[in-house]
Amino acid sequence: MDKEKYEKLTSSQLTACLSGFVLGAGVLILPRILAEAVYQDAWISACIALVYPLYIVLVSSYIAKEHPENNILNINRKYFGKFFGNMINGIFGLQFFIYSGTVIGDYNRIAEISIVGFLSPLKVIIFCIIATAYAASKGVKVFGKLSEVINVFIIPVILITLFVFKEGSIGNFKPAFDAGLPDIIKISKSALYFYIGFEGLVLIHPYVQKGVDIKKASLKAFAFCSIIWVWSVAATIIYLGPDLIKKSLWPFTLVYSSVNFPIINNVRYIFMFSWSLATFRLLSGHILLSHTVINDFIKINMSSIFYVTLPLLGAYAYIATDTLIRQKIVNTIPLFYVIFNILFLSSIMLISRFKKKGTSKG
Amino acid sequence: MLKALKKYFTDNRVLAIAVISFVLYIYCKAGNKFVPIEEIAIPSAIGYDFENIDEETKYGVSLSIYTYSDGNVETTVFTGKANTVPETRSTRQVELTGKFLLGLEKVVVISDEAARFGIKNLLEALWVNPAINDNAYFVVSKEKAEGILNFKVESKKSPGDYIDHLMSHLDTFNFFSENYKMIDVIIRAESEGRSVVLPYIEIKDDKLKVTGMALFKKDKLVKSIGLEEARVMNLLRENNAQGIIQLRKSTKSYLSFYGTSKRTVDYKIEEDKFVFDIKLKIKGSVVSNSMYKNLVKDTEVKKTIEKDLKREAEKLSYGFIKKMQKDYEVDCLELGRCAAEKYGRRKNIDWDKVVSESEINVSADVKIVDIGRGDL
Repeated sequence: MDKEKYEKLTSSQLTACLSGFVLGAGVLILPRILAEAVYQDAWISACIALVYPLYIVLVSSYIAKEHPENNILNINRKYFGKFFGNMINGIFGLQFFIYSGTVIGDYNRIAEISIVGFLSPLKVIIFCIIATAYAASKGVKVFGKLSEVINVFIIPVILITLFVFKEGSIGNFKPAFDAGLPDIIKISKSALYFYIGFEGLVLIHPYVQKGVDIKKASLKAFAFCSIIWVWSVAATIIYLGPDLIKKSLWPFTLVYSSVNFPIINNVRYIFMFSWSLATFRLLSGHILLSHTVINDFIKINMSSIFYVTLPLLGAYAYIATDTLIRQKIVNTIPLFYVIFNILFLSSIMLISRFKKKGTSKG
Repeated sequence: MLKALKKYFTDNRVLAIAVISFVLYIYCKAGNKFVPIEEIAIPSAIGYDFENIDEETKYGVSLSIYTYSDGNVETTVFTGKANTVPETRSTRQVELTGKFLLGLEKVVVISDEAARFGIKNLLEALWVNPAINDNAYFVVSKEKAEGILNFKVESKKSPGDYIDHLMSHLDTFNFFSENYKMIDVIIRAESEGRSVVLPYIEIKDDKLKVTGMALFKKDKLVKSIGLEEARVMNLLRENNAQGIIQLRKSTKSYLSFYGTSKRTVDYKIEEDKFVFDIKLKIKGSVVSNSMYKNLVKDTEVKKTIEKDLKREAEKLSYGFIKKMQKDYEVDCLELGRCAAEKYGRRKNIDWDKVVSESEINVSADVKIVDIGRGDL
């Protein structure tokens, strides 16, 4: 029982963990990506795109419920055989590796512009990777605790933005559906990249304490994150208006200009600081997830694999600091993985459903 | 040797982390030049001018920079003149004794001449810069901005601090709002149906003061109006603004009403013409009354005063709107913004033109909430 308590995640840690897999630097960019195409209707697109993470959360928690002891990697091998199972595992794990590179790239751009302009990209990348990989190497439980702490930092920083109601106008949302529903749905596809990460649930669910309602905890995480995503878009529209958003690279940071505290000259720096933590957490989560998959292939402990994988990640992230290359990756790969994840997780769900029926009948 | 070191560090994890952090710190710090705080030139205000040098129009950007000596804080003005905004930095640096740093400036002063040409180039240079203070106040000055920064204020404050304080308390009277900051200017200049208005300052009677408002069309100044008109414009334009409306018969007999305004705008289209309805709700208190008798006892008197104030507010409003539509031809009341919310955005409508040609109705609703301690 003690082992259970010290090594496995509690319900709130699972919630924090999952939000750690998805919340990151994307929130700063999301309003621009959507508003570029549909202006004041961006928040509707942001809502529509939430269908994908919701589906993933529901399917994943179903799988977690059916197979409490095995993570997706073992289930795969069981259902598809060793060769195909391992292949699918590889494809599944690769996505987290790809995203960690683009996340570093995105963060690096932000750091260069608004946090540590005096550091070269390479230094930022090295620091990001070493710090986050260290956190990841400590395992899921530590990551869960860490996520809880960082959530405490994030919540007040998001709440501060309620100031936009004083300075901005809700009239900026009007007229709604101006861009037309087809366009709104079409652009919501670009939001998917920012919403990816809940897939991690099927990798870590064996590390959750017995008796925890996984579905409830993960739905909580989904609600928490979707509120932040949609609010980030809505707050930016309320404050900046539909025309100005696309002219800023990270429009959500500007929302903090509406906040005026005595003594503090620039609230944006406080936001940037806590959002850096969130980004590090995201990175750490993705390193953790991708290495869980690699670990499964080669059964050596995680910190030894790091000697090979981290330089690889560093090199890849350095290439991804180029905005054009990163744009190409972000525009194509997430869409492929969205389809892959839906098909793959749905089929696992269906197979385990049929098997269950079969066994109960037999 | 290496093995012993490894074992030592695995035993003392905290030390290992400390060493790694220190090495990382050194690595990050290497190659960066850090300047001590005394050698940083911190501007309190930025001035934006236009100069004609050798028959060529040039930008002149002045900084009012803090200098410290013997416990006194004073400011010195440095000006860079060049044909682009960023180039002024290089021409200024040759006479500046510190490292140029933006981010702590409190005020940006734009001269009338420069504002008439357009402040787009200035806004571009500020928008790109992530270190800039988004909450610095913008003002338009009648004189050259350099002259304003060089002006010695009586209280020995730097002009930057002086204007900063002036601006932050402007909203107590005259229905001024507090949205004259850089970010507000950018939002208003770039959004459809919105317009920039900025306080207009002058050196008058050896004092630096606000003498009116400057009306912008997008990023260009088109007209500066006096305080009397500015008061009415602010009343019609802002929400939650405070100021005095008065009824006056003679120097001895008058009534002053201090109120907080709230406006709502509605519009409809009649015969291809926009008709705007501005509804003003002004709540407030009577601060001085020597015109009406029995205000304390009689509610009928209160109603008469409310009616008279309403008539006065509407009279002032119509006077201003007539001028606005005929002379200024700018939508400085942001009516286009309200129309765009319903009519639809991005339809290539020039709201300045539409508002100038449309019919505007004002209906005021004045409510006296309290009448103070009593009549004298």
